[in-house]
Amino acid sequence: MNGVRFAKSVGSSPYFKPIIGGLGVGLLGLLFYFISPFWSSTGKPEVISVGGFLANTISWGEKAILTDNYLVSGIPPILRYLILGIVLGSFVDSVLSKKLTWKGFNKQKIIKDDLPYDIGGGILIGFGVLLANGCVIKHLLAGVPGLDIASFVAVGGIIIGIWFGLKIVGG
Amino acid sequence: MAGNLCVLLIGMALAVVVRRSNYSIPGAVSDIFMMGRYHQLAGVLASICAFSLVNIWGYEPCPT
Repeated sequence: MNGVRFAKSVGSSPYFKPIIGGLGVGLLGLLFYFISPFWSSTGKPEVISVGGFLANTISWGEKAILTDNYLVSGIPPILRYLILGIVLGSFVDSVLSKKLTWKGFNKQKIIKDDLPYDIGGGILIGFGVLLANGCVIKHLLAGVPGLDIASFVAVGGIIIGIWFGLKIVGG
Repeated sequence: MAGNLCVLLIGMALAVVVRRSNYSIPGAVSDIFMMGRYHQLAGVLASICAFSLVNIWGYEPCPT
């Protein structure tokens, strides 16, 4: 009984929560890597990535709209299942925890609402994903443990970007 | 089909873990710069260590 109480207190501790979350994300990334050959078109393992899959989906959508018969001949990724799962999982969890609600925009220091920040930041993230050939998850979660030099450079760039962002926009 | 379902379930599990733990990789960096808090960084390191287990079975570097 004491063990259960101890586990609960550790799980809700602000010190241990991120560690448990980080471990969970890392292990899920590992699981993704091992089952990816069963569904990837190349038959080779793929590392977990969100930005790259989204880019593939958008690219497919563009071809489907602009190219004749692509809908028939192409294989539609339809919001690749990982992204679909993330959205679905968030929705289900927020419903189950009774936290599903509409949220407005927060107040920011420079501009009144954070809508322009959301638009600008989203565009910069999308551009950065294509420029660095992967998102922060792919580079930090899969690239760095694999000692990929490109990922170290990308992570260094992300840290510098966050530092500049904090200097310009503030906390 | 079963593979796609597994990926969908991993995505759902990922969302639940991140939501419940407030885990954020960029948040870890901004936490350090803004407040000098290293809790999230410990989470990132735990994440990297967990994925590093892949090296036991052999890892093909991601095509970056």
